[in-house]
Amino acid sequence: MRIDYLSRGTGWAHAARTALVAPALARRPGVEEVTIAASGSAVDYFAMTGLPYHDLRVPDELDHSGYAAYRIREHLRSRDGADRVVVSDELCLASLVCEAPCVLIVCSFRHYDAGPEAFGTADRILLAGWSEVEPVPEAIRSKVTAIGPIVRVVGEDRPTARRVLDLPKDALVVTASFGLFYPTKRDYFRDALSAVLGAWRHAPADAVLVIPLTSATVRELLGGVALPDNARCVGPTGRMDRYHRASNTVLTVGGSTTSHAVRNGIPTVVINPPAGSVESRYAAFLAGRCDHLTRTEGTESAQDLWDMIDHSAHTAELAPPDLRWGTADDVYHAARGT
Amino acid sequence: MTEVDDCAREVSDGLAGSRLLPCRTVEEVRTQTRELVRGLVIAADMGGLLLPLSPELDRVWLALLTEPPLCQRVQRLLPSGVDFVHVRNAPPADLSEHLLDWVERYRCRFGPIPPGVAHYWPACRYLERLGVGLS
Repeated sequence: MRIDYLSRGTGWAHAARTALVAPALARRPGVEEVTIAASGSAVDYFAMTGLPYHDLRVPDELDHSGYAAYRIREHLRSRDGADRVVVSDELCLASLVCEAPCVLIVCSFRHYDAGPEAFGTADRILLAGWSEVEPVPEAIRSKVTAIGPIVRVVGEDRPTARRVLDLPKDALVVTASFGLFYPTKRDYFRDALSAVLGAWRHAPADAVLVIPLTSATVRELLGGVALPDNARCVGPTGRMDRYHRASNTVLTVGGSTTSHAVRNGIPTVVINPPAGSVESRYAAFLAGRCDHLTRTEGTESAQDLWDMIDHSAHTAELAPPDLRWGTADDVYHAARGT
Repeated sequence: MTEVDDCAREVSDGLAGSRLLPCRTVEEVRTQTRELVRGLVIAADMGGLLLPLSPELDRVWLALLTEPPLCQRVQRLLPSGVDFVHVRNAPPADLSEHLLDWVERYRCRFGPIPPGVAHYWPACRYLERLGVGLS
């Protein structure tokens, strides 16, 4: 079996998942080859991490367009050899134009209404989430398996992670892990970051707030607001797993970084996910099942938010909640079953 | 009618009733297919540089891609090996040179842009806003 693995951009969540799954697939029996093709901002992720990839040359804003379908089709047609399977991480239109069996991986069904045909054409669909949060459309239920989020389990301990990242050994470390900045998330990022910095005024001087954004992005988001001396803008990084492990607590906006922190037992505070969003539903779901995750309501004062962060930061790391978590094996079996 | 429009007519007949093009009249599919095919031909002339498509034309392209025989029909019109690259969503001002070139090629090849189809081409809308006549 040769696997053509397609990875969507629009942030780095799909690329990070691909980087976890694709190399693992390549080691499974009967898999001769796995090649990655990346769309939009996923290209930056693979370039940064050194994983070989083909650039589909599809900008993020067009990744569910006819143009994207054309680029995907041309790429797949350029691939030689029989016994091919396409695994597409959220490039949903791939199933319409590929001439091989197709496994679609999705975090949600937010694209379903805009393009039910693509879901209907896929041979298998893996929901990398929980069906309690993301109800499966009736028309495709028979081909969907909810496998849970696919996230890396970090074996490293906190002291090692801090040493490698040059973070203080004993001080409080908090990471504002909002994901890759993306223009459509501007308001959301700005509000969450403003709330965090307001609360951070109450942090001890030796504490460190890690912000995985560039200083320019932070300046653009916050205007003239000066960052405190104990905030470190480390820029977008492929070492988020390690920053999470190094932190006493992780602050998220409810996206994939939340799943990673929770899966690894790291205390987490979810900051103001927009009401009704997928992120909000995931945060509510996890908050009811996970002792080390709290979420704000958006009405907290700076002091209240700091108290939540401080309390979270002094919570011991715990075992992850007893939930289904997806693995590369789930993808492998789906690909084999097509 | 040109060879290009003949091809577009055949393709639009094949796309009529496509599940990917619901709620469109036969006439709309015909016009949109003609504009898409003309646009692809012009883009091929421009080294594969494809100006932004309206959502309507983009959807027709998706429908076309799911019908291999119709795709092959269009591909026979185009030089072999053409590789369409969409211009990124750069500020329209940065594309001005390409926009004027595109409009000129359209006019030379197919005549003036017909009334009622400029809205399928974001480039045309931009030029109209600048007061540049499409003729």
